[in-house]
Amino acid sequence: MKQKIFGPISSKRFIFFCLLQFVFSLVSFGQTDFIIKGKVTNENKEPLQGVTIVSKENPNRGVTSNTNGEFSIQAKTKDELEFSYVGYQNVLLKVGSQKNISVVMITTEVNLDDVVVVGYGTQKKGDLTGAVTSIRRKDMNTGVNATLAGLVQGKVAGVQITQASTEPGGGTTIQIRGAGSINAGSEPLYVVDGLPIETGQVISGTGASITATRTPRSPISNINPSDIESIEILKDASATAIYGARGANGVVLVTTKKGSSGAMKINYNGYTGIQEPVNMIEMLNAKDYQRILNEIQATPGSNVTAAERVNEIQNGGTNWQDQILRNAMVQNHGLSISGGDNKTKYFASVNYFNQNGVLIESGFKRYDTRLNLQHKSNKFLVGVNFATSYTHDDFTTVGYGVNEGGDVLYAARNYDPTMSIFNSAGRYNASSFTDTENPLALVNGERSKADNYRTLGTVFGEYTILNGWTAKVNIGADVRNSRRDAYVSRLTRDGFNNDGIASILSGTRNNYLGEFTSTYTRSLRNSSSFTALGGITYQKFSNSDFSGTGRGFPSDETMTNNMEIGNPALYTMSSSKNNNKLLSYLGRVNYSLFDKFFFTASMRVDGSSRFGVNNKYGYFPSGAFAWKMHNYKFIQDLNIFSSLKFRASIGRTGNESIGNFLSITTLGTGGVAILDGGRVVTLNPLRISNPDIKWETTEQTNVGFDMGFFKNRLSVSVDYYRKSTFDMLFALPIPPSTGFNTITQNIGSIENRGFELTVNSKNLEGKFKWNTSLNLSTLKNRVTDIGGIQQINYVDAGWTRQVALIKVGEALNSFYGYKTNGIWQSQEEITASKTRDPVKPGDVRYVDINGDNTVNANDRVVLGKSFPSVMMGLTNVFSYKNFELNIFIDAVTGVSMINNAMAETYFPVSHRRNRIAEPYLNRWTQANPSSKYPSFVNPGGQGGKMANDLVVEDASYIRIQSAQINYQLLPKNNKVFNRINFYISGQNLFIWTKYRGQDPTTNSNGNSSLKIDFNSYPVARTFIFGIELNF
Amino acid sequence: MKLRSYIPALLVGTLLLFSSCVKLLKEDVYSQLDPETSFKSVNGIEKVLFSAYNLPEFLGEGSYSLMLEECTSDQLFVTGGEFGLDATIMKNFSFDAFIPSKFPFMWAGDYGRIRDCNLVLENIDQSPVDLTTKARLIAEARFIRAYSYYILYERYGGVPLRLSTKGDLALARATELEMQSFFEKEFSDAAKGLPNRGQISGYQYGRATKGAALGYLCRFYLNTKQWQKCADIAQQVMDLGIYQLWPDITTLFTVVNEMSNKEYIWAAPAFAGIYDRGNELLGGLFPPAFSRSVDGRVVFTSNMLRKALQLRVYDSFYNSFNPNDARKKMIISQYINSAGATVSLLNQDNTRAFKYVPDPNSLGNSAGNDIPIIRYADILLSRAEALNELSGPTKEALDLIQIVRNRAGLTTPLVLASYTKGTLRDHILNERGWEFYLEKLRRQDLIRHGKFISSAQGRGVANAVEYRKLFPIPQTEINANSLCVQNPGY
Repeated sequence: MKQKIFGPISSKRFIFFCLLQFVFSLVSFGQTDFIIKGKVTNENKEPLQGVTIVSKENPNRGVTSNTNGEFSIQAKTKDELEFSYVGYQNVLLKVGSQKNISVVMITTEVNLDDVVVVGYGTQKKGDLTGAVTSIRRKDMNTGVNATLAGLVQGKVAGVQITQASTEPGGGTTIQIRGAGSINAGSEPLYVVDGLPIETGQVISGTGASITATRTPRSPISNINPSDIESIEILKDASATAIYGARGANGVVLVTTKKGSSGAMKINYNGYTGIQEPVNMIEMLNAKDYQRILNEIQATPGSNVTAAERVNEIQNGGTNWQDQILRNAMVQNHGLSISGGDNKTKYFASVNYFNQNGVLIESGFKRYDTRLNLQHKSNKFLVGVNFATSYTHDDFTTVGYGVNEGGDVLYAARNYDPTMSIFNSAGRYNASSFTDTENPLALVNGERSKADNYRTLGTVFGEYTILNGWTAKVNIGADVRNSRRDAYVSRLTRDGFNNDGIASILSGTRNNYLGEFTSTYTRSLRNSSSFTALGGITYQKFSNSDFSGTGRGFPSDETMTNNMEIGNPALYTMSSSKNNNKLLSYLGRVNYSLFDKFFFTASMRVDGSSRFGVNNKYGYFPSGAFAWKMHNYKFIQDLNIFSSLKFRASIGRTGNESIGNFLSITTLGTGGVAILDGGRVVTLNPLRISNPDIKWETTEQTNVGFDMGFFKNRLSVSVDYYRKSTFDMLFALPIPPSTGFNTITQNIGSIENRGFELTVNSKNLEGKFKWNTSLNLSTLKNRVTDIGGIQQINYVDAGWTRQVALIKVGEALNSFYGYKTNGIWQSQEEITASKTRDPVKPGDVRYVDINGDNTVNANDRVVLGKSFPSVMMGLTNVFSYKNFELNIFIDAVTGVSMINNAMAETYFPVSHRRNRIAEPYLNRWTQANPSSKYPSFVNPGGQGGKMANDLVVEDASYIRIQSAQINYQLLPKNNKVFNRINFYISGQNLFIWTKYRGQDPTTNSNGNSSLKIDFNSYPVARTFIFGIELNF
Repeated sequence: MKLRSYIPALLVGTLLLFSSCVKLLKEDVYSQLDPETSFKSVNGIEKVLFSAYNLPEFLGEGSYSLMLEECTSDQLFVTGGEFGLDATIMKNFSFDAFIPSKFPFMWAGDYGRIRDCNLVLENIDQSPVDLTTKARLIAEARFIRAYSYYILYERYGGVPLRLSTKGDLALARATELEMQSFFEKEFSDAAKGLPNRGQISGYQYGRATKGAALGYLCRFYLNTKQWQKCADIAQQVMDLGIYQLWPDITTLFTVVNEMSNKEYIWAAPAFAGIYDRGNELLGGLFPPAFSRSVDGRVVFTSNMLRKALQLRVYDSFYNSFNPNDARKKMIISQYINSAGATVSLLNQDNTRAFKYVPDPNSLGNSAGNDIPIIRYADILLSRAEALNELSGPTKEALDLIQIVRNRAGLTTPLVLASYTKGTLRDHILNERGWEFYLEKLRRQDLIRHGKFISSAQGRGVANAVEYRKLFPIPQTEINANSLCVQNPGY
């Protein structure tokens, strides 16, 4: 073991010293003509130590200034001396006859736009060797963005951000350059002001008898998006390898606003607006439902008996979707103050955000405050970035349940439209034909709320040991607490039968970071420089939860607030506690030569408690090279490029989000057994352990060009990447006859590759300005090895079974099912086909792929994939005088999604359930033989073939995602306001798509590598009016 | 250079800081159990055994085994719900190694119990249980294991016979002979080690008994046509003197009588409500808008649920009963709907087999009606069938049949002279059909009598061919177990 611990240190030290030797060998000493002495200071007359002074005449001569800023160098009279120091402008000085000189160096005006945040540091944009996209505040999405992911959706080439649920505070999934994992996480690592945070849910589960969801609310929704100054997305290995075993899915660096020196600035930003549900699926109305269902019942061959005929429409029937939807309000108010002086800088904010959902009773509120403080004193820089928030969730059920367990939208789409809302007794009307709950009984009878608290912050201290050499200690913590209360009242059948069902779920989820890093930077002659970084970090993640349920309450009055008055025989409870730990060593060297060649090498060693004893430490190296070519004469002679840079990188990153305990054998609670009429607790072995378990490894190569044209008015970046993930954490199927279905192993591989194009253009300058930004990316995802297994067919969505396929050569989680070829038109056609399946004219004609005269599982084919082939984002900003118009359009193509409402329309599980109108209004009949829609007379007659090409639909789209008009006033003599900005913003304005569900952009599956629309939360069109005031 | 002295100092310093990192990276386990310690207590080993009592009768809504054992036969079918889609595949004989997806699910469930039993058997020596208890626990584990294998054997033929949790992942299927000698030995040995019903106080209702093991041995001999052994074992069960028929078949399947009746030799106890271990068959029996049966025996109350699945009886079966047969009266042919109107279910393959009287305390689709796995009536009819096969119609065989018929209200005795061996064989098959509908025995009975495929063909099922007597081994097993060969035809 000792060897393992010291191993990484030694190798790092080795690299470190090699590089140091290399650097110092460059700094050599020359011959004397005469000696010049002098002193270097900054503008404040403070001596500068470590300034490089080089003779132009004889570049081999070079010295550095000492602690008092003093130096001495040998030179000739004709000679010129170059003074260079990081963060300061170079000074060129003719020697002449002076023998004692004093030099004042002036700090470089750091243009924030030119600096990007990278892992454990910052870098000049022009010197980047990796693929990093930096999104500044002004370039972020406009309108209502409850989470930070919304700010950059569609803005970054190669990054797919999916709104998993559009409910207030709803979850988003971010996928950077495809998906490289089957069973481990595919979300990127989020780092907020230097603290890597965890995105796991504090509470899993929704409460007893509340529909479970695959899209829990966003774990980052309690970070206030308006506090964010910039978001950097690290894409290639050169940028991400410094995050080692957590870098494989890319890294999102979030930097919050900091104060700047000057007078105190006060900013108020508030908006209010309205959201309306749009493009809702049209279900059969009461009259059509009655007519068509009765026609179907009367058709010979139908299994439906006369008992199920629709005999009456009560009070004109009910459009259940309209009953559960509303136009919903959203508002936000934020106040911030910032300012500082040379030594101290501060930023503080408070914010209130309140969004109601378009599904009644759903909503999200956030109250948060932040303080970012920084103080510099001589050699010390100390600071704190601290935010705390309280969020409140109001839930209306959204999820994957069916029948009586279905969510509100499921119930509304399935419920009998001929029924009135209330029965004669004034209770919610319950259908005697189906088991689905009355949608309004569900909305009003299931009360579910959560309170969440999050405190997140870092405290850091940095000490300058020598000029250019700093040591930094960074301590961080992210503490989250949640409690969810759910009560199912007697308004629902379930609540009625159980005399109320109360659940309380509570949990905490924390992470603590201790980090030590040291950076050494040195300017060299000839515009060269060198930076080395080394560090050690330790992070511990822990979580615990407790939940309890009660049933059998005397009344609904007390809900979850007095559980002890329930029936003691029906109490249930559960609890758990887990943690995992990560100990890491990291190092990076940046070397720039003549401001032309840039080299980056990094290495991280990660040890994780999750890894098996045989593989405790993972090693993640990277190397990158960039070449600024525009300074060469042959390029300049082309007269095309105003800037041109080539980049190339290669490296390895890992994915350690593999879950706990895989390397050890444990027993856990098993299935329930009933003996003597009561429950007995059972124990079950949980897995076959794998002591070799380790991280997944992703090897990525990236090449790219950054180009500027027309004096950089047009800038273009092109990247090509190839990411190949191997040692994939894979639940390898083993014979189920062992009593286990899988064993988790590092086996198999997946490849992602694609092009990325980013264009920024200042089309028009002057009074009327027009800027365009375009990003375009392609993605090809391919499973290349799954450990010799032929194929894996899994994932259910409602009744639609085994929809996803994992097979070598196909995209991960390809849709798998039956092809159809129109409708059987006549008995002759059926006879001629020789099919042995019991089909009748008017039935869907499934394609018998293997020609064995029966359509079964062997006739299934790949029907589509969840990864778009091409993604695009296009932003146009027009400004004239005080007006500005910002329009953002996004588009994807080559992507499919399962439309589950359509599956239920083709395969209604019972006659009296409602269905999507269009197919039934145009259904096949003897008189009107459709070639598109079947007769629906015996929809289940060929068994469950729900995964088919009528249900897996093209989900390509072009969308006007947002538009915003700003009007800005800059009052000159107003003593109160410096700036007033009014804005009107609209989101989700228009969409072009072939998709027949509500919206092709959603994905209720919560896993971006498999798109399923299972009654996704309705997408809204939003309009807001806002005002921003600067004092 | 001064610089050089800093770096090693710094590195050494930080190294010291993190020198305890071996401990830092140890995986902490707080809420799962270490097998080493769990098996060392009686409680621990018993809880693993209880996991094996998580019986397949509750695998899901309406219990999926119904679609395999009944929906392929000549009595029942399903047209609604998702269950209906899979049941239609079974009815059409178009099942394959992938579909219905319940195949792999049920296969894995059976082998999960087998794994738990193997764990108990492997680790019981570590456990500080007294010798008597130990012998009983071993017998229980061996019985549940053999019972689980019997379900597999009856569906798939020989299957990989895993008698230990260790060993290679890939394992070939056992031969017919190996399976048979396994069942004979395991059920016989278990019968010796298991207590009789009521023998040990505190031994919960639902746990394995001597009767259950003998009953399964009898069923095994019957289905493998080892007639003499079958007859002997049936006699042995009868001689225990514990079991007898419940006097009224129409009240046998009610919640109030299930623990007190002496007819259930072994049953899966059901629990209405929160643990998903209720009898989930009943909601699917209710016809649309059902309110109550005309005779008032079955009443729908608001705590129940009418499910979509629609479990229907073929008219041919309904009409095959003697009109006075009490067992026919348990099948509802007309009902009062929620609007108060009387609705007839006759002549549309739509009568409903309400063998179970819905638990008045049902919670939604979950009822407390226990699911019998072996009834005493089965023992009587098994002996009768074996005796007929051994020596043709005899008074003893007819008397055994008559006990069952008397209970159903058919008191006119069968006439010995009017039966040949063949016609009595046919009668016994019919009698079993009338007695055991909905109890998941029909497919086995039809196969034993050589009528499983022919009767399906008679219903016009074009896909019903001989090889489909056995179901296909689930593809999940075939994919991962290179030694496991698929049944012929699939």
